[in-house]
Amino acid sequence: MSQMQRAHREPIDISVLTSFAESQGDEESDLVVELIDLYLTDSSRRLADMRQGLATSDESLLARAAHALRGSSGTLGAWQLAESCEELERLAFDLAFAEVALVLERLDRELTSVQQVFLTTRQLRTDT
Amino acid sequence: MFLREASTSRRILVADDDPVIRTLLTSIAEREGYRTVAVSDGREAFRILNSDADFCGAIFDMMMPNIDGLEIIRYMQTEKRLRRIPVLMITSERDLKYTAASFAAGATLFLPKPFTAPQFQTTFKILVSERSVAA
Repeated sequence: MSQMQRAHREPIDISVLTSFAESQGDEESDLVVELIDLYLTDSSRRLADMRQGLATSDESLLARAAHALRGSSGTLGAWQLAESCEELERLAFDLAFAEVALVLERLDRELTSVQQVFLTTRQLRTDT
Repeated sequence: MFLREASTSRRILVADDDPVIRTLLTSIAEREGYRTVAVSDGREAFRILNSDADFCGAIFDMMMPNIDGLEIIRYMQTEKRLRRIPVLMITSERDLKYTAASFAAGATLFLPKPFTAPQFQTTFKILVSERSVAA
């Protein structure tokens, strides 16, 4: 993906998440709701791992958690958060813990925004 | 040169420690009419493959706890009963060296994350259509 394409992306593109349900058919369970529920639980756990990794200067734990959150966030359309995860992963490998602390605070705010958008989407889908 | 035997099974082994991606992969595969066996780490995938080769395809995340995707593929290449199973490797890594490492280990296909539903569906159809590969 080019820098220009990244620059024009919204922080979160909810259509990416909802696109996974387009070919679902008439199944009883809603895949989007299931993915949101899994993401909400998993992303909070990954953030806790990152905080623990920072507190204990465990670059491996930090990098693994950032890597994992990057994969699911990017796949569900949370581009900005995925890019912050990538940045944090790189900083962890470089043992740049002071910078990690700053990026982690930003990542925390971005994750909160993403979780809020997903919660709203979940509510809209379960109310209908 | 020999041809891999065709598999009559419609079972897919999915190994990914990320519950979001794992659910997504299994859901789409099942929508395509396949049964899935899903596990959350490489060791579990390894354990299953030790006693069960009845899969028409496998999807592995590259980075998993205990045993990573590359190691599983390398093991599969050492076993004749597993060598015929086409493998799709997925990863968040963008560096081409990971693509090269996957193919060198024996992966059939490679899909970088993030991917869209159509991208995965297309790749999945190619994976399960793998029936004969020159070795």
